[in-house]
Amino acid sequence: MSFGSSSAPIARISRSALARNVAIAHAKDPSAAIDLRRDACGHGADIVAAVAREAGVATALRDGEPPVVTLPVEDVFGLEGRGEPAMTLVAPVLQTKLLLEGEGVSYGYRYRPERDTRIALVSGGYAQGIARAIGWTDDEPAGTVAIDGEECPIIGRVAMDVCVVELGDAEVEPRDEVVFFGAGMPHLLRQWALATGWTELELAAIAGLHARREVVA
Amino acid sequence: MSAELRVNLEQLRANVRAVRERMAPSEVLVVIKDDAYGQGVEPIVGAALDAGARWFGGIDVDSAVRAKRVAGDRARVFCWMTVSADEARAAIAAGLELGVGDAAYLEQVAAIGGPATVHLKIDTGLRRNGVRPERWRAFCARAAEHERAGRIRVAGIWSHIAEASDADDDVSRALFDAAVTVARGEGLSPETRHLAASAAAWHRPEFRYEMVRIGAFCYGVRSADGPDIPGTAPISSLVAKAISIGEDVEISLGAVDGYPSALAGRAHAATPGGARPVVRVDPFSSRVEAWPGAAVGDEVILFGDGGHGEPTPTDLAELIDTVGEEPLLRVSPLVPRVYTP
Repeated sequence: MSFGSSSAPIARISRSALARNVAIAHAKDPSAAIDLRRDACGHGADIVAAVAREAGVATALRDGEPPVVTLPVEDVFGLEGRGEPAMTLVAPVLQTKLLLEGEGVSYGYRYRPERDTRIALVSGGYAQGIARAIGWTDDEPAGTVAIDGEECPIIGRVAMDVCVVELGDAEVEPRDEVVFFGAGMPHLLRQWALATGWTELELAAIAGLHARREVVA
Repeated sequence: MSAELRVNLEQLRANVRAVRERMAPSEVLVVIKDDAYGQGVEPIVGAALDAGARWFGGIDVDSAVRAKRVAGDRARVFCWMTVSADEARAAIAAGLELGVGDAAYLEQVAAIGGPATVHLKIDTGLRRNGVRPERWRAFCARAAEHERAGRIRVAGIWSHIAEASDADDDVSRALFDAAVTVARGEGLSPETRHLAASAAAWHRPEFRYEMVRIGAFCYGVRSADGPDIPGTAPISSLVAKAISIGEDVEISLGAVDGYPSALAGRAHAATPGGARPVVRVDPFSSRVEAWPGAAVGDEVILFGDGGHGEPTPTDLAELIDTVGEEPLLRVSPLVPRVYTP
């Protein structure tokens, strides 16, 4: 799948995943409010409020308002193994190239491949909330991305705006779409949480707040 | 939410002056990528111009276009992401100079005409953007053809180094020098060579060439595990307010605002009663150990220049094995930026 004309990451918000998550959470606690604080944790307060309203959630909590009982945000946004991921973070391949056996990658040369391979430079780094620690080192596996269904490791330190992905034999071209985490692949964000010790909520929220947002069915 | 990021533009000017003085006679490109490290392109570029900056640069087109809009003819602006043809066309139209480190991208940029002012990138080991050495001669020959036909002008040769060790960086510098020689042999006459960013440029004069690209040190962010940089200090402070007082003090900033939850139990913050441990970081608020007389509305500084006993961004980063730029750039765009001129 090919990316659009901009190179910045996109947070794709699934209306249907939100709707299913909210319906389940609302059935468990019919009087709880929808939590819209921090632009609904980077998912977009407008879309989350609309979905919650349609599901029959009567009240909302916004920034600056006194606390009320809310639906658990992990349930609503499909995090920590609860519900379906409502946010999918995607960005384009910028460039592909060769990497030869033993050549170091990215700042500090913390990863060197065992055989000649191909790599992709992918848009998105820690300025966009893609945590710096999720790249593989020689010692430890960490985060992977999905390109056309194929899972590829992020290698070396994630830089401020880009990261490097090892393609192996995957056929990948510039402008192909890279999935960092999201729909159908809850294990990808889990890998980020394991590599950083941070919560899935904060990882998704900060990425979502920095990305452009698209709402999909 | 009642947290804010306070940005001191006079400190930014002081940092830019200190960096320019250290690097002279090399020129300094002030890096303004990602909305000037999340500090706001327009005020940062304005203040850096006051301090003598004549070059700005960023990887993303958006920050670079905004910088050019502020700087006009007072500064050149360089943009280096390998972007789509549409983005490249918009960047050229806005007066930006483009970083080109890929043969296919060179063709795209040349096809736009303009002519585009470009800086060719050799991969000296970082393995990100940049043409591999064995393909460099053919790449330069092709660029020279485009230059003769008036489609591009090659103003610079550049690279990024990995800063894995001085020895590795020396290898990269030798590759860089060889690449410049090849480019000249192919008939190019780039007037601006630029290789180094903050740390290498500061500590190793032989890496400076005609220009250095400085982001971190202009914002007062020292290298992780590196020394303080004389004449510079962090330009911004992340400040929250006490919102409830109990056994601990709850403050108005949490992990979803960009303060990593892994800092709980590791970091401290400056309070009116002095430095106190951050004991807990929740999504929308955090808890700091109480101080005598704590009151709702009291200000708590999570990071800053250290003037009140708070950690700098790099101090925080070192607690969780990252670099100072990460906690600085994680601060949510929803946290208001407040400027002191």
